[in-house]
Amino acid sequence: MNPLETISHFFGGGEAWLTILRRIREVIVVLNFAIIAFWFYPLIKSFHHRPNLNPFRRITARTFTLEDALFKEQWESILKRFAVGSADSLKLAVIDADKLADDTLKRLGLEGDHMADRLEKISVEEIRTLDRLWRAHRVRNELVHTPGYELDVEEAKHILADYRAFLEEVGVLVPEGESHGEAPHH
Amino acid sequence: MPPLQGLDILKELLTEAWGYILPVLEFIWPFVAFVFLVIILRSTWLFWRQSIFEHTIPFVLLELRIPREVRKSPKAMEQVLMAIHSLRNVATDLQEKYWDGEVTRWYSLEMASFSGETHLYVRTYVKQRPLVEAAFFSYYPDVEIVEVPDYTEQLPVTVREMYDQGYDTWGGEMVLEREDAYPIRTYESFEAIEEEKQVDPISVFLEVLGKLKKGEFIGIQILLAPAADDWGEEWEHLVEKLRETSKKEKRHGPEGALEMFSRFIARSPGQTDVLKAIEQNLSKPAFETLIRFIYLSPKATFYDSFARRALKGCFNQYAALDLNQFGRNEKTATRTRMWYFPYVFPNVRNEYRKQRLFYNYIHRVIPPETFMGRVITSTFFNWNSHTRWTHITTACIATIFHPPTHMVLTAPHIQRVESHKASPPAGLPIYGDEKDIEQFQ
Repeated sequence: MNPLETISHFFGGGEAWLTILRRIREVIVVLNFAIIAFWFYPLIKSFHHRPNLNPFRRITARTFTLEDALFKEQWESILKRFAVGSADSLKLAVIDADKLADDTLKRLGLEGDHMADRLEKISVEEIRTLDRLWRAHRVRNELVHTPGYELDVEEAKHILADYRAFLEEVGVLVPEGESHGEAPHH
Repeated sequence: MPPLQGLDILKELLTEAWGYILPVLEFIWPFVAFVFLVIILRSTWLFWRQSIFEHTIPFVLLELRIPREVRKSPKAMEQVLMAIHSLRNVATDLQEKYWDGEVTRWYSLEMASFSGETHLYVRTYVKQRPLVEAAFFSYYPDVEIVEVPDYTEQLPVTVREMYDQGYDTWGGEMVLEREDAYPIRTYESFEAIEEEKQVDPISVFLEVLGKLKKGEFIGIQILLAPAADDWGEEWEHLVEKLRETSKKEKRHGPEGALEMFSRFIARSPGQTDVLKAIEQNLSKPAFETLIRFIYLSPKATFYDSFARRALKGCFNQYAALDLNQFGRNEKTATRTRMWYFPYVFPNVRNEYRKQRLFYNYIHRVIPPETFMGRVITSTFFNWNSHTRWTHITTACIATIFHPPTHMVLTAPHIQRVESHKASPPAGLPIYGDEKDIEQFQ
C-alpha cells in the first residue's frame, strides 16, 4: 500500500481526502513557479538601490547634479559681462571665471592656500585640460597684478573657452548641445 | 557473525522507513518551498519599496551654533529628544507598508571636526525642520540653527580617490556591549550642586576633536529612529531574572523557605542599584540608534589609534562596568586581520570595508530591515550582515550629544555665537496680513 494512503487511513481520512490534497498540491506547485517568475521583478528593481562598493573604481568626473543649475547661472552671468565688451567688464568676466574654476577645484577636494597650489596637485593624466587652465590662470594673474593690463575681446574669448573646457571636463557644466541624463540615484 | 546480523536488521529497518519517508517528502516539498518562496518574495519586495522610500526622503542639514554660555544641563537636550521622539512615523496599513515602503524617518546628530574646528549638526526630514527647530529653541533659546550645505560632499567617494588624494581612513560603528536594557552612565551622574564637582563629559570629545592636525577630519554621526513605546517589553525577562537572587542548593522544609525569603529581600546594594538603573532606563522612550565614526587623515599624519583608541575612550567615559558601555562593532571597523575569521583576503576585504564605511557615512545609511535587503546590499568580499541598531534611551543620547555647557572651555575649538538674544518688546503690533509680515522675513 502507498505510505501516503497508510497515513491517510491512520488519520481516518478516505480516498476523497487524499484527492483533494493532491489537487491543492498541484495548485501550490503552479503557484511556486509563478512566485519565482514574479520574484525577479522586485529583485531586479532593488538592484538599482544596491551601493557600488568596488573600492578600486575610478571616478573620472564628479557630477554635481544639485549644483548644475548654480554653476550654469554663474557661467551665464560671466557671459553677460563678456557680452558688454568694455575693458573693465572683460576683466571682470575673466576674474569671475577663474573664481568659478577655483571653487570647483576646492569642491574636488584639492587643498592649498592658492589656486596655484591646488593646480599643482593634479596631473594631466587626471585632467586633460589642465594645461589650458594653467594658461588661463596665468593670464588672469597678469590681469590682476599688472596695472594697466589691457585685454581685447578675442583674447578674453579664448581664455573663457579654456575655463569652460575645464568646467566641462570635470562635469560641473554640461557641454553645449548635450543635456544631462537622468540624475543618478545615490 | 552476530554483530553483522544486527547491522543487517538495522539496515533493513532503515530501508523500510525510508520507503515511507521518501513518498511523504516528495508529497510535501511544494508546501515547504511555498513557505520559503513567500518569505523571500515578501522580503525582496519590502526591500525594494523601502529603498525607494528611504532614498526619496528630502533631508536638510542644520548646524547648531552654540552661544558663549549655555547654562542648561543635558537634561534640556533630553527634553529636546523627547520632543523629536514624538514625531515618530510608522507604517500602519497595508498600503503604507507594502506599497509606500514607509520606514521610520531617522534623524542624525553629528559632530564633525575639520582640522580641529568642531561643528555640531542635526539632520532632519525637511518638513520636520520647523518642529525640530522649535524643540531646540524652547530649551536652548540662544542657539542659532542655520541650514548648511552637506559637508560630506567634500569627502572622497571611493577608496581609490582617497588614496589618490594621499589620505587614509579608519572608522566603524559603535554598539552597546551588553543588552540594550542596561543603560550607560547618564549625565545625572556627572552633575552636582557644588560647582567644583560639576563636569561635562562632552569636553573630552571636543578636546579630542580639537587636537586634529591640518587636513584631518573626524566625523561622528548618531543616527536616531524613534522606537516604539513598548521597546522595553523585550527585556522584561531580564528584569525578572535579576529580581530572583542567585540560586544555591535548595533546602526543603520551613528552613528552606525562610532562606529563600531572606535572599529575596536581602539583595546586595550593587544588585539593587543595577536593577533600579535598568528599570529607570526601560521607563524612558528609546531611539533605535546607530553610532558611526570616520577618521580621515593625510598619510603623513595618519595614526589609527586616534580613531581606534581615543574615540573609543571618549565614548567610554560613560562606561559603568556593572551596567553598560560602548564597544566597537568589530565586523564593521576597517581592520581585518588574517588571524580572524574568515582568514582569507584580509587586505581586499579591508578596502571593501572602507568603501562601505564611506558610502554609509555619506548617505547616513540605516541597517536594512529585511533579510533580502542585507543579501542584496552585500558583495562577495563584504557581507552586510553586521551593521545593526541598538536601543538607546533619550537620557543616554542626551549625555553623549548636547550643546556643550558653560563648564567646557572650548574657546579655540568651536565657533560660538557672541551675542545674546532677547525677545522683542511687548506690545508690538502683531496684526497684519501675509504681505505685512513678508517684509520682515
